[in-house]
Amino acid sequence: MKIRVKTTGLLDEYLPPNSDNPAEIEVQTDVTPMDVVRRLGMPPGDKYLIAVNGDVVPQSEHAAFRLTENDTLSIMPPLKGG
Amino acid sequence: MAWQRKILRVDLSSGSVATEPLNMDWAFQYIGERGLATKYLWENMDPKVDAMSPENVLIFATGPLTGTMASTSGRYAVITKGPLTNAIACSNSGGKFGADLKYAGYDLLLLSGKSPQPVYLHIVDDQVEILPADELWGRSVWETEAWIRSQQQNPHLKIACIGVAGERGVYYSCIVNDLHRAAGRSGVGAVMGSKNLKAIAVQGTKGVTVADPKKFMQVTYEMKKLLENDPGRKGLTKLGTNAMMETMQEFGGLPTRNFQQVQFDGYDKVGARGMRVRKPNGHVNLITNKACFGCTIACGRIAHIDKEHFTIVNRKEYWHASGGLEYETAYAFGPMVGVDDIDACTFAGFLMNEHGMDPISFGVTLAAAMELYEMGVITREDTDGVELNFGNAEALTIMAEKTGKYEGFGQVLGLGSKRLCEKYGHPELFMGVKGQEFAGYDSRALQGMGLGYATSNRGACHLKHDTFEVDMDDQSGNGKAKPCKTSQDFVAMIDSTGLCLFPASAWGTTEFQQQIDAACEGDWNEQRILECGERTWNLERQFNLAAGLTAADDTLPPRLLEVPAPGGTAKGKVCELDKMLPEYYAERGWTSEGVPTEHTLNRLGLT
Amino acid sequence: MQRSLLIDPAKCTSCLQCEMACSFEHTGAFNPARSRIKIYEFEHGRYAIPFTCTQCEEAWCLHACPVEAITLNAQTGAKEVHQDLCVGCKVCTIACPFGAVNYDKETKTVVKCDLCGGDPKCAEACPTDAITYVDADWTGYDRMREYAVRTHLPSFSS
Repeated sequence: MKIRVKTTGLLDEYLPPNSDNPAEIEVQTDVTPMDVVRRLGMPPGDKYLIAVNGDVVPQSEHAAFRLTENDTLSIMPPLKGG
Repeated sequence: MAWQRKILRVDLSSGSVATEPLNMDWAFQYIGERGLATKYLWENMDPKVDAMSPENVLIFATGPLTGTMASTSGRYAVITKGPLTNAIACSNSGGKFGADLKYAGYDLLLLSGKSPQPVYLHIVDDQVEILPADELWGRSVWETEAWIRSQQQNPHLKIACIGVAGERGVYYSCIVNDLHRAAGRSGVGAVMGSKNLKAIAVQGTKGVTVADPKKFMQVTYEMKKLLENDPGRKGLTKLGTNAMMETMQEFGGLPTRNFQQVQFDGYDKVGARGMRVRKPNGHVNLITNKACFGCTIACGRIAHIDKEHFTIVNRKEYWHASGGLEYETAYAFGPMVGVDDIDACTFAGFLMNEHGMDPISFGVTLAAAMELYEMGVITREDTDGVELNFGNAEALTIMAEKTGKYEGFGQVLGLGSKRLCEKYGHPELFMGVKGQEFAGYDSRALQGMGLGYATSNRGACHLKHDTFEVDMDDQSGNGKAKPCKTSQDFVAMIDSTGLCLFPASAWGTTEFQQQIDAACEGDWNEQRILECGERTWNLERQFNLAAGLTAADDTLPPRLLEVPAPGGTAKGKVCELDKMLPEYYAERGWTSEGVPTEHTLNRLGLT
Repeated sequence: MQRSLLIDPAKCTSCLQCEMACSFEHTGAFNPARSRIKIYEFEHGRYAIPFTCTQCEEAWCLHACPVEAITLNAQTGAKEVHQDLCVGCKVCTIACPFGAVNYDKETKTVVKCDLCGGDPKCAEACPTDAITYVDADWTGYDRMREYAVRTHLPSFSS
């Protein structure tokens, strides 16, 4: 199924080459945010902020939440402002 | 060893200069920098005095790790009573100035009184002079640096100074060091101006040692490795703090048009991405990154403005590079005022450093003025003919310059948002706490940030606590009190060491403790250093209570408490301060009136 | 092999860890005022350039010394000041065209970079590789490689 992946900060570098941000990617059904993190090559041990369709997905659900067709998955790095 | 064990006392009224031994009992209770200076402030002034009176005390303080090879060892604090808030001002800066003050042999510089004439302080190790500054008064920060260097013929001097804004008492004027770093908030620049002190120029050649050099070098080496590998650090080095713009937009916590919205269409033009975009004429805003003294992160940005841009097309003096946009400056000059012109934002940022003003407070004040203008309460007659609509980039840059030079409507903007809103009969439009304006985080989307804003001792501040992780995981008001309290103590500890907050993305209490323990005499364990932070926090609170603040000041504006966020991940939510605050007071060991109990004060040795 | 300090100013962030490392190695204290390597900044910090002795072949300092207090370390190629022999006449500071030898009031002798005997602390401390310690015969090697790519393989991104 198709989903859109949006990133911020240094995570932009993990989007497929020559894609927009958000990027449209093809994934298996019932894929989880952590599956996408791994699929894009982002370090699986790092912390991420995840939102799906504008709603935050808590850390505890990053590996459990199931995405559906046409979802917009936002993956953001934890970053401090100044 | 780590501490220089000496402080410098300058009374500007009498012109007396003296040194005295550092009170080591206090150093062992407060570590240094912010905590130590707070103790010195508490013992040397009455918190009730007017912040711009000669009775206010102004302290510049380094930490035991300032000037050592620990990463980020360039920090120093400016501690005083802030005119913006009439509360304690604990401002913090980097650059190179603090290191040289330490190398000159001083842990802390305490300034009292008021000079009868404008002066500047000239320090070269033991040689301390109060010199006439009548030729400096009226000059900008940048002109002042150049003048002093030329006058003293000493390229090694590091300079901290104020511009006209500080001289004239702009409530959020700041102290700029090394051209584009600053002790930025709460009006510390106005305190310096009120003392007729234009600048402090320092060169230090004595060096700093540590208690256990071998251990220290080993430990700091390990910590630098940890920091190097940290993803948060990598983001800061490569993108700077302004990458937060994209995340806040996505999250829906980006304060826009005086907090009327939480997302801004033009965000990408003024964020980290906008700084890297190549314009059709080839211009790119960002040039390179830069570090403060001792820092292996280098989050600082060096940028330049498009020479063809309306702001500087006829002003060659601004064609050079200087400090580029930080997140806070970009938020305050971008979404907060509805402007999406990165050159205008960058130019306004230059002006902040040139004239010595806090960009956060200026941007938020301008936003309030813009809202009042769009309501018809402020008119073009008031604004010297400038159309003060949201989104007007020209208005942003014209007003930044007017305020820096204290001209025209700039004098009104120089009041700060709280006093300006009160002046025009709309106090509810002031976006801040205790008189100090909010940073770039909407606390309807980040609840713990709301609690941190409301309870920060120096007025609204995003730096004095750290609940980002829990805030971005759980957007209710549940469970925010404890992380807020513990992070406040943790940050107060870091602020007392001479190190920067930013390595905290890789370092926890253990990592800071190991460096402190290797550098300083005595046994410093984790509990001890966190207790120093807690002690500092409670002493700041005592100062504020003595100055007349109460629990009623631990609040947020009605827009955040009552008006639901119009969009983003927290759409429909308000800030649940009423739930979080009582829990927080309990966590702190304070009464329900926000007063530290006898038990808490005894435990911390504060009675 | 003999190595040489390689300076890449584009990478320098002016953190001054090198100045602290150098002074710590030679004096036991963190003290940029007594560092033999210095960072020079221009245009509000846009340019930051580390500079120190290049251990030049001409060795004006060595030849100017009236008491032969400066000698060549054959292994490292460094021109080293022997502080016990130095009389503080400062003639070498005049002879050096680069200003890389300077008088140190603490020791009343001159000081200069000596490559820390073959383990330069500045290079070790530098967080960005603005200072590295490389094969002395090939200091330009990496830069040549960069231009080889730029010239002949424009589709490669760096």
